[in-house]
Amino acid sequence: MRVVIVGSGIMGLSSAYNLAKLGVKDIVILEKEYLSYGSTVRSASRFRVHFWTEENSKFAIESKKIMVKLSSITGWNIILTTGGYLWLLFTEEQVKAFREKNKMWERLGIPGEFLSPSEIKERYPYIYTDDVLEGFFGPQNGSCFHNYVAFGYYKAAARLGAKLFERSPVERVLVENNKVVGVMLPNGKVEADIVLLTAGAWTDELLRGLGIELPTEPERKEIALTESYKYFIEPLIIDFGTSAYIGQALKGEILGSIEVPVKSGLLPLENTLDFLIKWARAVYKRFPVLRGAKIMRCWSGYYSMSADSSHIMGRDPDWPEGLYVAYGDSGHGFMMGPLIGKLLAKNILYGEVDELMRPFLPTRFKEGKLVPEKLVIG
Amino acid sequence: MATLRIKEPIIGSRGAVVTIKVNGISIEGFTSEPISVALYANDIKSFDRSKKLYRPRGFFSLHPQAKTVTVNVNGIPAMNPSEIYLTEGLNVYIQQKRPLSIRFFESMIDTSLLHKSIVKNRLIWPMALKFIANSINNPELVEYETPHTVSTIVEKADLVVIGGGVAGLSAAIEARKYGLDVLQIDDGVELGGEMLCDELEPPGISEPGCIFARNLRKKALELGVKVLTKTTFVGFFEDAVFAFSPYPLGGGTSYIISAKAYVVATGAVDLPCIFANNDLPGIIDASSALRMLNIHGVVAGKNVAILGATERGLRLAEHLKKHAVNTIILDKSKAAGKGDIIGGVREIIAIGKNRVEALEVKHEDGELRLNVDCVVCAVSTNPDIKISAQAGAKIAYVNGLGFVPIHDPFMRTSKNGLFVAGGASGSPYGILHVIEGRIAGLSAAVALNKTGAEAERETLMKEYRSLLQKFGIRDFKEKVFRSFETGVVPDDKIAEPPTLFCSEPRRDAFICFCEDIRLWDLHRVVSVYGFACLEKVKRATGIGTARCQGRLCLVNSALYIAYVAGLSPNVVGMARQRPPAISIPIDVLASMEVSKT
Repeated sequence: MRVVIVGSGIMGLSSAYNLAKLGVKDIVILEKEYLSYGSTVRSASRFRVHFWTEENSKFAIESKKIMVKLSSITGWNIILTTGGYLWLLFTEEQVKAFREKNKMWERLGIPGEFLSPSEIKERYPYIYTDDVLEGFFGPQNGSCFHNYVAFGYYKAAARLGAKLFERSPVERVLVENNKVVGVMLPNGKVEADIVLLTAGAWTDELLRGLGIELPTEPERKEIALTESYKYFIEPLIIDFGTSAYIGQALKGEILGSIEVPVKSGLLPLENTLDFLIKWARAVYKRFPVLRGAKIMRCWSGYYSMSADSSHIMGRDPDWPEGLYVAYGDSGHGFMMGPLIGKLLAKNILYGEVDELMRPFLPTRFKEGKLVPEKLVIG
Repeated sequence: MATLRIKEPIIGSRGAVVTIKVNGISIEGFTSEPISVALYANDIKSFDRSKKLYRPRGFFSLHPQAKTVTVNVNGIPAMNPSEIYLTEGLNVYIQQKRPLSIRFFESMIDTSLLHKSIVKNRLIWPMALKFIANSINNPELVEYETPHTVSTIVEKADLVVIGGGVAGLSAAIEARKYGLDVLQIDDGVELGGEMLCDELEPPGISEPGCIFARNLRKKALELGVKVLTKTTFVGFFEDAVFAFSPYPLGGGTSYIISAKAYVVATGAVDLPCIFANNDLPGIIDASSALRMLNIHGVVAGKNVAILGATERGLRLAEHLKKHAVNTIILDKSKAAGKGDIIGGVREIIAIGKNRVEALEVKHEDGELRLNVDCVVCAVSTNPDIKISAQAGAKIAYVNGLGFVPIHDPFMRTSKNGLFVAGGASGSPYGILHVIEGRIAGLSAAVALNKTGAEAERETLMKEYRSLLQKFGIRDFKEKVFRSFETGVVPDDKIAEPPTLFCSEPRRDAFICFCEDIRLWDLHRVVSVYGFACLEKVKRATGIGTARCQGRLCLVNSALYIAYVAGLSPNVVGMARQRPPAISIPIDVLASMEVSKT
């Protein structure tokens, strides 16, 4: 049996690794540019377990367990830290909503902590807290080095026989008698029994080619990075007012972003001065110590946004036989990726739909069983 | 302290004498000098310690974008010493300490942070993590009064010329003649570029370079070219074009630019040579040695070894000899060996504690030791592609020229409205820069429908081609022109990278000075992990991701990967260049107004 995986981001690579581990010998990963060209290596390299919906939180908790072990599994040190996430809240409604959610999170074993402005000041003296009403701190969340997560998965999968072909853009999926038979590249076709689409923001086009419409669309996001400074910002700090976030990498760069309204679609992966200025303004106000910090680089990548801001994985029985997807992650694909690959591999091989996976099937849109995730950062 | 100052600079004036403090000790300098030069002149060569291994580091290049070391100025951390000019009473703090723990753990430190030996133990990792975070040598951020003022200036022009060397000046003059509004941006103190530092006759020009450059500058100013100096062209954002000047200190002034055409004349970058301990202070590039000597009146050393018996290396030696500096030239080619040139050099090891003190040289006929206090890399240059690549012009590797923006004989790049000229397009120093600049300026006038420009440009083409022939680069340039026509990049392979003076992937030969990435790290990623694409190597090692944004390391890396993997550099590829070209303080961005253009 040959599995063709389209896209070599974390979704594709973790699926490839798990399929190979379960004994699939013939795995072909097709990548249109180079290994992990897409969103994985452009991400902010953070993971969290606190989500608005129970389904997402549960999923993330299990995914984190894999992430914690990943260095020993792949041999690539993913430089995992658990500095936590700190949400700065400004209105009564925000605080109320987080208190309500914390009941669920307590039940799931991931309780957070509410901090008064003075407590925030005590722990993180570099934050301007005068206008902050309260803070919510999730100590279970953290960061890991996205590049080594992807490269580690790739190397582990390759050791088990998976093959990666770079600069091989898939133009369409080939279907005969309502069954996938392969994919088309510019210079010929690749036969396949199973086609797994994990092409992130580019998945929409491939599905559309098969006449399948799911409510997803790419949204370009930008990130800025400063020069390296001595490590002092442990958590990822999210300003719930402006939606700006910042965090510091172990090597010292301070990275962050802010939501800027953009047109959706596959916009060129460029940057805007508008974004930089808005982020700088938010940082200037919130972190006086960072006023002299120098922005060194910025880049952009896509969030593959779905209608309910939750990822889509598995298949719809109405689709051609052998077609699977994992995308539409709405900005949290990097943290969900390890578990998505694990569950999807079982789903593909044994038809098993894990309880954790069930809410995220593509059929949920036509059945009206959405997983409305509100906690999307950036 | 020994001083490296000679009596008077050959060109220009030094400005007023000022006293600054360096770690509390007073030294003298001049207002025309950046901090780097003042320290070097007072024989302070090590300004900083490297990021992971705490090795002593001085500047390799004085170019503001080659920021590999930082100093603390007036309490402001992480300032670029090559960007800030002296003022009376400036207080500079340079780091010279090396923690004991680093000495102890040195052999364990993995500069790409892979740390395989400890990674499998999940209990040890959190402790190792803390240690790593604390022991990385990054400057500490402190809160200081930032000059937060709304400082955005909007500049409108028909043509913006990026770079103030003779190519840029020639382009500006031609375009101005046809009535274009021209704005010229340069990050130096004054226009003239490298030719301003040349008291000899440049190739193809029959008067001293400094006089020629000064006359061109005079002409440009007389014609009404608008000039911004000490200003860096930061880049092309999707919604704006942006330039930045790092004054006032700690903040800066920003310029939003709106223009119809751009000429990129940013010159070329001297590539660092790769050999053991090539990061020692006192190992600098040819452009810095020339600039210090002729603009600032500071000799690079008393006994200088020049790597590369190239036109560039030989000219530099001639300059230095005029000031009683002992020079010796080392070159890979055996045939080059004659007089004070040692040919057939295979391997170099630099020796010294906090600065280069000697070189051990292995050449085809034996070994020798040279006592030197300065080493200058003049083996190879590569066009400065940062701006043209960022703008979206196609970049390809062509033998004999390096990674160049693909252009046609009219100096048009694949990006509409963007022209290149001079060193930035791969041309060798001399009259070619002038003629290419003129063609680029005329092309900009043609693009803006100025009558007569096309005819004048046509008259230059014959001379241009014959000069290309004369300088021996016609075949290479024709390849570039053909590539522009066909869209196909040449599959040129390379032999050994020209800058490599190492017979094995050593742990003390540095590729990246910012992140302490060594030949050994690079070799491991290529040969063990099998990554042969620069983008992937960049992500695996962190090469090109730090302060200098790959200015000094990316080309060397690409060539080395191509060499190890046996591929064409065009298969290895160049990494994507992104704005900003130099780092911009958050304070400055926060005070900017978003332009409505």
